[in-house]
Amino acid sequence: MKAFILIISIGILSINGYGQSFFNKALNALEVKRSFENAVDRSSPAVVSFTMPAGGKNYYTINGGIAISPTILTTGKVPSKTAFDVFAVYNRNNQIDLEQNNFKAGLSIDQKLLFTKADGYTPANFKLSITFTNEYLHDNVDSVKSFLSLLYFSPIFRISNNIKLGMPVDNYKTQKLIPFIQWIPGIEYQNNFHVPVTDKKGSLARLYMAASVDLFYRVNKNIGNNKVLMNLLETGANYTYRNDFYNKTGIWEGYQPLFTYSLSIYPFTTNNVSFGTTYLNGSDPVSGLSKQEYWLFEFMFKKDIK
Amino acid sequence: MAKAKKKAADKTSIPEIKPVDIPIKIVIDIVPGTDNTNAASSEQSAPGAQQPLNTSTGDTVSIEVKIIILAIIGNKTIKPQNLPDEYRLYDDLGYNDNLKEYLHIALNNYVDHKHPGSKIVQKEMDACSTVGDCIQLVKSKI
Repeated sequence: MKAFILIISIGILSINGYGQSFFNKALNALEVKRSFENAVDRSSPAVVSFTMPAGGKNYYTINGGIAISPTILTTGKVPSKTAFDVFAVYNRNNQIDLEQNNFKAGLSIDQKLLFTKADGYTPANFKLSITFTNEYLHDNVDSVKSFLSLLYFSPIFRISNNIKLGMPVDNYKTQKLIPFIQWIPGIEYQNNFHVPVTDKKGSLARLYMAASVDLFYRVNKNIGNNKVLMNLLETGANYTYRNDFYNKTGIWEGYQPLFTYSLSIYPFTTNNVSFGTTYLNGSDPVSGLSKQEYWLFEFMFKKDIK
Repeated sequence: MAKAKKKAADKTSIPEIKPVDIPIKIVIDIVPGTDNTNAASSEQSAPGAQQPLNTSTGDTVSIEVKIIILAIIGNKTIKPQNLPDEYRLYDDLGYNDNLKEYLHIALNNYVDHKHPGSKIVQKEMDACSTVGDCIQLVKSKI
C-alpha cells in the first residue's frame, strides 16, 4: 500500500509542470548503486530479486541505496575534486541460508587527486581516489547497532595497452572484448555500541583489500540511426580480503574472504540495466552478510548523477 | 616670425603613425578525416559555443585538450592530432562517470592555468559528451 501511494505521488508530481521540474532536478541529483563506500561498490549496480510462490512465503533480495552528492573543485599542482555523498542503503535477503537484513546511512567523502606533469596541467599516469566513509549500521538479524569508519584507496594507472587499473583499453571503440580491472586497499574500523550479547560489544579494525576483474562482451546495437558497440554480456569476479588486526570484542573474526562471481546480460540499449546470476562465497561484515555460499538470479540497475 | 617658422617645421615633420588593430583569423583543420558537418553539430551542442573563439590559440588549445582527454584514460595508441572531434567520451573512448570526474578536474585546472580564476562548473561538464564539446567548452573559458 505504501509503495502504491509512493508511485501515485511520483506520478502526480511528474504530470504537474512544477512537479516535473522539481522531480527531474531531484532525480538528476540522485545516484542509485549497490553501496557508496568505495569505487567497486560505486561501479556495482543495485540488485533486486523476487520469488513469489502461490500460497507460500515471498522471498526477495534488495541490495541498494541512493545518495545525493555536492562537490568542491580545486586547482594547482595536484588539483582535486571532493564529493560528499549523503547516502542510505537497505540490504534485505531472505532467499539465503543466513538471512541478511540491515540498513545503513552515512556520509561518504570521496577525494579524487589528479597529479600533473611539469607543465602543471597535463595529467600524469597515476591518479588516486581516497574515500572516507562514516556510517551507522543497524543489523536487524543479530540486533547489533554499529558505527563504522571506512578508508579506501582506489588507484588508477596504466600498465600496458590492455592492462590498466580503473581505465578502459586503448582500442575501446573497436574492441569487442573489454576487461576492466580494479584494486582497492583500505582499513575498516567498526564499533559495536549496542549489542544483545556482551561478547559482540567493542571495537575492531580490519585490513581490507579488494580486487575485481570484469569482462564485457559488446555487440553493435542500434541507437537512432547509429550503430554503437554496447554491452551484451558481462562476467566478473571479485575477491575481498579482510583481517582484523585489532579486536577488542569477544568474538574472533580473523581472516574473512569474500568471493563473488557474476554473469549478466544487457538486453536493452543501455549499459545501466542488466539481468544476471551471482555466486557468492564468504562474508561481508560491512553489509551484514554472514559467512555462506549461494547462487542468486538478480535484476541489476544503476543510475549516476546527470 | 619665430611662430611662423615653428608652424612650417611642424608641417614638414613626419606625422605620427598610430597602430591599427587588424584582425587575423586562421583556421586549420589539423584532424585528418574529420567530417566537418559532424564537427559542426558537436560544436552546436557544446556549452558556450555561441561565444567567439580565441583563434590565436585555437589549434594549440585543441591539441592540449585532446592530450588531456587521452591522458585521463591512459590512451597512448591514439595520437592527439588524430583524435576526431566527434568522438564520444563514453561510447568511443571508454570513459565512465569516475573518469569523467577526473576529466572535469583536469580541464578545470587547465582553464585556470590559462586564464586564472576561470572555472568549469558541473553543469557545463555534464553537457560535454564529445571531444569537440570539451574543446569548445575550454575555448569559451580562456
